[in-house]
Amino acid sequence: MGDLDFDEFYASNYGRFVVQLYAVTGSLPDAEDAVQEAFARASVHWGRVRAYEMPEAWVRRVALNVAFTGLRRARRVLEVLTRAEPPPAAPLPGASVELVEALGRLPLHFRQVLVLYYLADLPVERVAGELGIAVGTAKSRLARARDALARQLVDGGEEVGSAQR
Amino acid sequence: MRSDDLRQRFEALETEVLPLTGPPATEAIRRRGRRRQRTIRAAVLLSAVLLGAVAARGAARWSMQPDLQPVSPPPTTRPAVVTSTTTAPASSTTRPATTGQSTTSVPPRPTRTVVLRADGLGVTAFGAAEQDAMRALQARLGPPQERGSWNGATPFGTCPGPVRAVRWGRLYVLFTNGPTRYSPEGRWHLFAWQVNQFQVTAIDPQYSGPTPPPDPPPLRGYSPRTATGISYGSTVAELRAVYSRRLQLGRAESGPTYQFTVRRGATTELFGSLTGGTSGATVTWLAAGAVCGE
Repeated sequence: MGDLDFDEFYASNYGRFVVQLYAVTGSLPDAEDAVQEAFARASVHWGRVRAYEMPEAWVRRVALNVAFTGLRRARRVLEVLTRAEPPPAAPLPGASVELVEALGRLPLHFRQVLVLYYLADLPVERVAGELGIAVGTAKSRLARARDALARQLVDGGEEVGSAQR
Repeated sequence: MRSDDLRQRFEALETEVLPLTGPPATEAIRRRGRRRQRTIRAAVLLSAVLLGAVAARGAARWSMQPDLQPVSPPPTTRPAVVTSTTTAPASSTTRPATTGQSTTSVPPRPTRTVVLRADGLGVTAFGAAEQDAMRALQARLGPPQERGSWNGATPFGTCPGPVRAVRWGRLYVLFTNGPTRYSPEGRWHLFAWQVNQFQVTAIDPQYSGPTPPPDPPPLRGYSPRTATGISYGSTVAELRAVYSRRLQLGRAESGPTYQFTVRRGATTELFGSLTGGTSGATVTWLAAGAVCGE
């Protein structure tokens, strides 16, 4: 495998990863930044990453870590505070906003399991593997997350746990 | 809400958001990765430099004397007792006693001398215990003008272990308790001598300028010779006359200087630096013993 390998991997996965990160973070710029950073790191370590059984899992994990590290969040806050004007918001479709807002009211571990299952289209076994939990735990977590999200979407629902951002 | 309904919602999300985001050029991503890598390397390097500086500071504190410091000058009157040795050259056995005043700029000459040899300094040999060697040397040369000690990097290079140095005029005598071909580890012993052009000064761990630090002060005063008269300032022609085919000249691996070595079989007996490669070029320093950095 050569450089072209990374190019293909990047081109075929970038958009999907951004959507997945957007669903988890609720912010499209944050999602794009995290995914780009994850791919940047993957490009440097591509020789090692491509040998993994699931390189996409590695990139997704890095992107999630990047998106949720305190340092990055602090930087974002600083950037926002020092901006003279708020950044122009990308116009997002209403349905998407509704779903993402509903996800944002869920705890992080619920968002993760839902995104991996519905957006990344992974079977429960791989969801469990990517999250480092038992398959049974993944199944029960998925069921509870699904119920919680459904409640949020049907009637705005009550707060489920404390959302982690 | 059924699972299929949720799946449709997520699929709709993907369909709606995907067109809003496009991947930046691959090269931009690679550049970002390389930039991050450089930042990490710089941070690691900076950390290493800081740690090194802290360690060097600690090592300097650990040393008995952090730098070569002037020590008390030798007595102004010295007995004119001559103790002949089998290795001393004729010119060095009958030096008159001096009673002149010592000054800070021109160090006093020892009343007698030692001989630069491949195996030591005549009155003492490589491998001799430090105390024994110092006793013999001071009996000849009086108290040294400077003493210093280093633990780790030394101005003489990477030596076999911690180094103590003493100086008389241009002559540096080096001791270590590291392992050398003359002694196993753990025993302070004489392992090298050097006759230098410049004063050896302490390494400044903070120095990071683009060019080498300026030359230290030139040394004057006592400058011993080999039994055949070779020392600081000898010409290449003189080296050739003395050592003939045992002399090897060559450029230093780095920098414009020339080096010379005198070999006997596979053994390097003498080595040093020259001002150039012509017959008129002169020796700027010479040394023997275990090489720091070898």
